[in-house]
Amino acid sequence: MADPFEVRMRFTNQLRQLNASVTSAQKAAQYALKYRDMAEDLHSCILEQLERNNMNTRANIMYFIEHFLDMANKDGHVDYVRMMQRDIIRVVDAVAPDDGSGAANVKVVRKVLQALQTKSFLDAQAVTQIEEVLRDRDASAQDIAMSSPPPADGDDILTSADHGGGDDNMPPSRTLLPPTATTLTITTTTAAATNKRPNAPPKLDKKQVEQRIEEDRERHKRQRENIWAVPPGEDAEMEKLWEETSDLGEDDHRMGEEEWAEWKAEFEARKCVHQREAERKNGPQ
Amino acid sequence: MAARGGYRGGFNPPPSYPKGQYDARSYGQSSGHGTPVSSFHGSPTAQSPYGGSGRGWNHQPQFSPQGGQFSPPYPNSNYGPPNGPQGHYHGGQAQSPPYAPTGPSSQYSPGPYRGGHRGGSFRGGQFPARGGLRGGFKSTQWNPQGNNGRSQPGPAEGSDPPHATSHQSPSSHTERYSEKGDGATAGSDNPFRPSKDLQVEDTSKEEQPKEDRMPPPSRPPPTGPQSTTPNKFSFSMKNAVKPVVAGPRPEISSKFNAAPAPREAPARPAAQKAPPTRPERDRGGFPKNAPTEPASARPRPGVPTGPGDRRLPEPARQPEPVPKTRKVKKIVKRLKEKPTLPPDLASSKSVFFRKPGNESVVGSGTYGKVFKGLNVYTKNLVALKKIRMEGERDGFPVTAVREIKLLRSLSHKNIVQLQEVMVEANDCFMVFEYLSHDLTGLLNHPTYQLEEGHKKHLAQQLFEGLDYLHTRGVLHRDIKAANILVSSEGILKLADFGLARFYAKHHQLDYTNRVITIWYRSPELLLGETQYGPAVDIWSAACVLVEIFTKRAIFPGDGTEINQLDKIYSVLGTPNRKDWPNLVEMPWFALLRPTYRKPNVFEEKYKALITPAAFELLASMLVYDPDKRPTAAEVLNHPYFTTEEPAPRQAIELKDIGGEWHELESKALRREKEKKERERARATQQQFGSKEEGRPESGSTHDRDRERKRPNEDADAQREAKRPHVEPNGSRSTTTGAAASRAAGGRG
Repeated sequence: MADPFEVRMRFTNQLRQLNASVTSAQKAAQYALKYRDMAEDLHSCILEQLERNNMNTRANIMYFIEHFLDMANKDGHVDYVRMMQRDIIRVVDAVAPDDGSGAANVKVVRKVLQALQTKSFLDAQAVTQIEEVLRDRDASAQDIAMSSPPPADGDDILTSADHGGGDDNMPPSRTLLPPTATTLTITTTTAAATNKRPNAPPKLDKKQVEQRIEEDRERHKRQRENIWAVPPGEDAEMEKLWEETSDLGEDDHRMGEEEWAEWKAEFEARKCVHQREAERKNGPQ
Repeated sequence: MAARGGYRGGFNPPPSYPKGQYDARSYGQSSGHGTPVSSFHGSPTAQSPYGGSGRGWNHQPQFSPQGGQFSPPYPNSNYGPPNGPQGHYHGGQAQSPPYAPTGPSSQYSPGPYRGGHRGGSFRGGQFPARGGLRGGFKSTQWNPQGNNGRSQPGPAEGSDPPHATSHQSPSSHTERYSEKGDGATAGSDNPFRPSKDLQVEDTSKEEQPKEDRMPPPSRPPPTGPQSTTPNKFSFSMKNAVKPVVAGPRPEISSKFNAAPAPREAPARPAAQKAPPTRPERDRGGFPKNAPTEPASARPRPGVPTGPGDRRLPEPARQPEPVPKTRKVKKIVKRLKEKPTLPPDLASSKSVFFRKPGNESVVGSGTYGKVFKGLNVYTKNLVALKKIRMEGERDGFPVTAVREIKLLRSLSHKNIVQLQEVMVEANDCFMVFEYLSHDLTGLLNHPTYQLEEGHKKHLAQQLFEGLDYLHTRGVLHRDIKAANILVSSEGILKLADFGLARFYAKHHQLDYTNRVITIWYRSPELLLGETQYGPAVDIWSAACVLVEIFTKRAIFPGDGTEINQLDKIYSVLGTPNRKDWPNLVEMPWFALLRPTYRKPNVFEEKYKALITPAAFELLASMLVYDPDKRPTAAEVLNHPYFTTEEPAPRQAIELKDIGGEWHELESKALRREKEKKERERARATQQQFGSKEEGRPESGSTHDRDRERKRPNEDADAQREAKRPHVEPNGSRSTTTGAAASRAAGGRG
């Protein structure tokens, strides 16, 4: 048996080094499945890393969770799934904290939650509630009206938390969630989150932004690799094409004319010698 | 067996032959008709003697079948005579039938019949003619006929007697038929009967044509006559025929000599007149005329029959009208003088000559290099875009395939034309038409200044090209000054479709957002949007338009998304949700949100530099919300193009500026200048800031997006300093604008 401490260390490293590639996620997931007897340990490891790393890594871990639960479920290790269901609020708060620093991750959280729901790792009610919280966080972030020219000329520093009535809207998870009476561990985590909330939330440094952009592109590329897939079902492909086909328009005529011209040219070029000969003779007449 | 071959060939073909072909052949090879018949009877041997005329023979078999079908073609043909021949025929047939029964009756009821018919037909109609002409040819086969013909040839009247002979011959023929065991008998009947009339017609007609072609046969015909007398009985024998041939020639030749001119003339008239005229006349006329003409003239037409049919028949007919003088059209082929290539071109290993080394490079980028090439034969200039294969793990780069496919489907005067794709020495080149300038090079020309009308014309072409692309469902995705070519006549063409793709016009798909050279990249792309459309090209085009007006890029960032957005914010101000409702939906909005609010200073900076309509147009395109940007078609309807003076005017003056101005040249020039200026700047420290800034900014930076960006970072601060620099351009352009308005007549 491997040393639990070593397992934990290695898994932690793998989580830290997650990137946009599928292989990195798979590797980490397989490792976790291999040492499933330490499931609880490794799960806490995930939570720990979610709260300790920068926003990019948190986003990567979030995507990893989707992958990981998938594989765990397939292998029948429902422990991981159950634990993740239990702690999902904590995860969300870590990835998209309400202090604005994780605003860029809100979309990631949404996407992953949606995926988890469709795979029925999460029930719809929980997702809906989290969704509400997220919307508020999003809204608060969006309050930053970056109008130009600004009403009060831009001497103020705009940050998500800082601007306008941001403070009023800010503490979404705390104000909104308790009333919903979820049984999840929300209060504690939000408390921790709000404590961290500084006046000027950490601005992502340029390097991280660029890294994130690249990783998002990478993920997008992979996602697009499946775009061509045709949904199963009778005539699905036909229906899809039908839906995507527009009415006949001017541009279609334009294309038609071009193709017709091309066809005619080709037709002429392929006439047999006799026909061309005959035309040559008849032409002058 | 050979006979059969001919036989069948003749028969079968007739049905299969299209009338069209028929006509052609029948005319050219009329002789064929006669021959087929011959082949029929004694045919097999007949071919052998001809040997050289093998072709003729082949044709002939076809003809015979055609005979049946001929009727339709004939009418068209000059021969018109079909009617005439028919007449003959009937006569012939009438006669023949009686004979036929007699001869063949015993053996072949149908066979003899046919034999009789043919014999009759031939004899009646053809004999006279053939007698002369074919007699020799077919003599082997036709001996009986030949005999008749010849015996008659002298006297047209002889027709009757020939018939008699012919009758006999038919019988012999019939015998042969039987011998051959024509499987075709049943089938042959059908062909025969129709053919009879037709054949008769044909024959009469054919005779004429035969004359033309017959030349080779013509020689033999004489033999026919000689042989005829003896042949009647022996005619079946091939051997007899051959020897005979030698004899007849002299006769024919003499005849020919006597009446050489008429050859065709008679033929035609005969053909045409023939129908009305009685067979006798035909015969009479034919024999006389026929031999004469064919002898000299025939050989030529006859030989070429296959290929020459087209050319030869015509000349032959033309001479016809002039009866007595011989006109022979000779077609002589002379080799054209071989064009010689100058040594440097001659030594070129490629069809497209390139100057050695880097001399021929007119552009380079991530895609590879572009060379200027000269087609050594046509002397046309081309641009050769070498497709980079290095580092391609998956073979031919799919991006290149995409580009080629796209370009092949595009055809517009403002889109660069892909002429071909060439593989040479293990390299793949895309061959484009060559244009002398690109917009970057042109705008950085040291002396040449575009007039306002020129600028408008260029802008118009830019948007016409874009409009075409967008209506065809293509996103260019790399619009920038360096990708816009300008010919020496001032025609603008969009180039470099390496990033272009078809897009779904009526529903939104997901595309990569890593497109468009970053200076020209629209804010939605910079914010990570993957569901975009033609508006991204409009943004790029607007940036290019600014460059056309001011000679400087409007958003010269340092190559990173963050800095690029800063550049945009610093001119257009920071975006807000009111102007751009989807702003917060942008994937990287939270990631890249500005920290400062910035005012829109676009008006402040540019209004003074350009005309009011131009400013209005630019302002409408450079808006954050892609949905609010005008389409290319709408841009073209903007007052800037439609009403504001001066009208667009083609920059034909570009012919005179000399040289070629591409980004490449302008870069070299710029480097030179930078060097000088740096030295000067060292001398006069005060001006350092402004001058240094001015140089690199003016379009120089286009290509190396990633590298040189730092100097520009504080462009904001320096902008003010530069302003004085910019203004001179603007004022100059307005003055030139006045000049342009004077010449506004040239508007397209």
